Amino acid sequence: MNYADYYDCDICNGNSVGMSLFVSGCPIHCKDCFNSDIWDFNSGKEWTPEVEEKFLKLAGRDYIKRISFLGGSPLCDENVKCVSLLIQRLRSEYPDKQIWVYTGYTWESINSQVTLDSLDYTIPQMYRKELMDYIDVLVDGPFECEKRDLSLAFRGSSNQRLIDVKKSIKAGEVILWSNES
Amino acid sequence: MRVFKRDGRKVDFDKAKIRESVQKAFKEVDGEITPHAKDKAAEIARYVESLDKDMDVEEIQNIVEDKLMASNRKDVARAYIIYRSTRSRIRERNSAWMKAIKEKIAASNVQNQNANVDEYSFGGRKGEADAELMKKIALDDLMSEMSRNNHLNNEIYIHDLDSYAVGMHNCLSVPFDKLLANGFNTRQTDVRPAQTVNTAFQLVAVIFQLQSLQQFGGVSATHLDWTMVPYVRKSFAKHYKDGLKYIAKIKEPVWFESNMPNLPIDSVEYKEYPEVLEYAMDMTVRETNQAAEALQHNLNTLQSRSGNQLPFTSINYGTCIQPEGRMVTEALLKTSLKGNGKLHKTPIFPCGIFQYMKGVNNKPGTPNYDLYRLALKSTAKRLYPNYANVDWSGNAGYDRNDPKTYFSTMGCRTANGMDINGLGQLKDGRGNICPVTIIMPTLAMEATAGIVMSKYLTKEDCYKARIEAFMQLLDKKIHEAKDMLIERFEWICSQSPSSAKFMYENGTMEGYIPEEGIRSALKHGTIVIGQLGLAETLQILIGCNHTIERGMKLAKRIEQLFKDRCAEFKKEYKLNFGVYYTPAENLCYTAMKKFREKYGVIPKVSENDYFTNSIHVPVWEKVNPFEKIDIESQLTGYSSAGCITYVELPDSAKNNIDALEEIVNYAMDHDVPYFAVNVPNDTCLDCGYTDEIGETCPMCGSSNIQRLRRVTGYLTGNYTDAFNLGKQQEVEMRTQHTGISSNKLEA
Repeated sequence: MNYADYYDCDICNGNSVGMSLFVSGCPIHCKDCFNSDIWDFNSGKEWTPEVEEKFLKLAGRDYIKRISFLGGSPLCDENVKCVSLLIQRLRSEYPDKQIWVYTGYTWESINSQVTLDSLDYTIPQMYRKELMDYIDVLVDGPFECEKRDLSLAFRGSSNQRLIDVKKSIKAGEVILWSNES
Repeated sequence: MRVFKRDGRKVDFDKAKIRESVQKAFKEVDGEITPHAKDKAAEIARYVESLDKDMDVEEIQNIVEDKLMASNRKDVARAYIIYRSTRSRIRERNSAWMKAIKEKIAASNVQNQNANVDEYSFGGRKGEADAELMKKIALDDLMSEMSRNNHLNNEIYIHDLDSYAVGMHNCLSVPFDKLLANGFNTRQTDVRPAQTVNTAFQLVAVIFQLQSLQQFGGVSATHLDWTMVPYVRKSFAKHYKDGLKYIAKIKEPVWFESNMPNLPIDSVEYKEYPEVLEYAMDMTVRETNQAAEALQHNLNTLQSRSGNQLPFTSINYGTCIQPEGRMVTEALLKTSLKGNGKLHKTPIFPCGIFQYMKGVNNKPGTPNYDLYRLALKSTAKRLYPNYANVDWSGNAGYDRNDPKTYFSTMGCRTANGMDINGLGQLKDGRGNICPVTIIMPTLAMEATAGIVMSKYLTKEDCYKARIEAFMQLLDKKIHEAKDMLIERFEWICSQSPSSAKFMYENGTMEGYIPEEGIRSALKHGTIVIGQLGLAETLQILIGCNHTIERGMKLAKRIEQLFKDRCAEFKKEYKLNFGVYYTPAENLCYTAMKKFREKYGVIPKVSENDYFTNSIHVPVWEKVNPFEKIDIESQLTGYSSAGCITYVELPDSAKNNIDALEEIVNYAMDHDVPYFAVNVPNDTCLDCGYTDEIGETCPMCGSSNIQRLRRVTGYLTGNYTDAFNLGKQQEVEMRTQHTGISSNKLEA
């Protein structure tokens, strides 16, 4: 996996103060994407074990309350394994930090039961689904430029949802995230 | 025979004038007017007369000069020539000065020295022209040569020079508790004590206005939520009384008449008639909200002073946990959030300051935590309030039971510390009397001239030599700054109390004893030694700034010297000397201009049009908010007389109040005394959309955008109109401290 950018301290892509990692490569190509120059999976720099160690260490700073994964596409087939393993490490080292993931997939497509044709059940799909047990908020859906709304918090278009993953799994339906707890 | 004067007038030739000027030259050389001198003078005068033609002054003086040169008294000729050239230099200086005045009158060279002054307005043009005269008189006649030289040489700057001559002082925290409770006198009338919260809020605007005319700087309220408690109660009692009459249809009970004014609104006595209580509560909240709104409106519209300025007003609040005080804080915050006018524009004044206090409002479960959250919301949208740290270690010795001693600031940053003359940590009725600012980069250049690398074996040796030379000069200049302040302080003390009747008659400045003169009040104020350009100074001395450890080490040594010296002066002179991290709104630009004229463009020192303020991390350094706080909080503790720490956040902060809270908490936990958050505040003047706006409004496409930015703790109008060029550039170079690409994964 390559990564395109890293924000050391970010308050735009997720609630509270966090770090944001933009992974390289995206197969979806939304119209008017704000990050189209990193659609190429070869753009950016290589995500090496050394980089990952640094990343985990930086995530340990007290004031970092959240780690966000954006892109590019962190959950696409090419990236999901690497992202998934990274998130599992983060989760075990820092159980109290929030993990946010931005994806062009919808919640429904990630969580759909593989019923139609078991041959469709791919390993990346498995990773995606399994990952839901480790993250706190999923920002789902592609960017739809005609639904662009500048006033929205943490997302670009109104079709995208901030999903409270833990609550949604428990309830068996989408429950939106809210910071009024 | 006629003579043409320089001003164009034509006058009759007067022989005596020539005689006198020649005799003067002789006297200069001989020490007396000898008979020979008289003869020679008369001879030359007769000669000129004999020419019998109309001449101009210069022609006549040339003839006199020639005659003296041709005589055997060449020394007298020289004296005459020197006298002539001195006179012509003075004339030139006066004409440059007249030119400056004319420019001010015509508003032809507007520099935006003070973002709050409209230099194009009638008032601004008149005021600025007056200021030129006032400055000249101060420099020429009222200060020592040492002071003048320091000012003119760009070494120690005398602030508000135009207010020097009349002996005005700088700023004041107004003792509103006292003025509202007692009423006050003005030149034309007197005002009764306030009887409702509405009136009290109106009087706050009036008092701000009146006090601001007695001084040149800002005015503040140090704990307005507490101040308003009695007036909320009075209003509540009135509404309750109405409720009894019209809702409960009863005559008021006996307890009511006697206790009415002072009963807390949550008293058990009020609970007898729930409907009346509900009515009274609603009406009181409504009245308080309207009163706060009217105050904000007044403070953004009632211009005073020449230049159509608004008084620089600041209001501190947030610590009163009584329901009345909470109501006031909430009203002030809601009003700030709501904005002004049809488009709900961000208010420029008052500068709101939320007083952050442990156990009172700092975390969930504390009584005013809800108000803190509301404050954060307002900050994200309106830039105000800023945050004053009540628990700041520098305000030790305050009285938890007396909000008049809680840490508060004048919006810019000025703060009143422990009074050496007996008032302790009292804030009310005290202010800054006058500041000077040491322009450290100039000192660094002067001290290190000739200390070049090639003369030393190692870099470290060279740095060491530079540092020692600089520290020595700095120490000398800190002492001179002290002398300059004392000079001005004494001048201010020599003024008559009738110059500021409102202030002295009503005791807005604390401690005034008429028999002792105004010094009795002024001695409780602070007199402060400010500083400019620590970052550039470090760069000159050791080639880095204080974002790295080597720079920080030297920074601390420099600040320690300021602190130690001010502490010594305070003791020795029994005056409140303090270390001040100067706002330098205009100075950061003008000092740089002068610096560059003298030393040219030096990389990382004078490449920009401004010096970095005080101890601030340069605006272009890519540090995150926590790192910035980590750095600056190591230095804020050295300042006793005021400092401010900023971070720059993106406009999306308004969607992320949790993040904002974490950042403010972090600053407070790191003992930062005064903290402010900058978010871009652009408003479309056609549709009112407020956000960070590019070239055109994303909602309506208009390019009529007002861009509000902070300068020196306060906001001003559109920064591209109101700021000087240096500050404009500084604003444009500000990096946001979050959401920036980082190379930390690679390093």
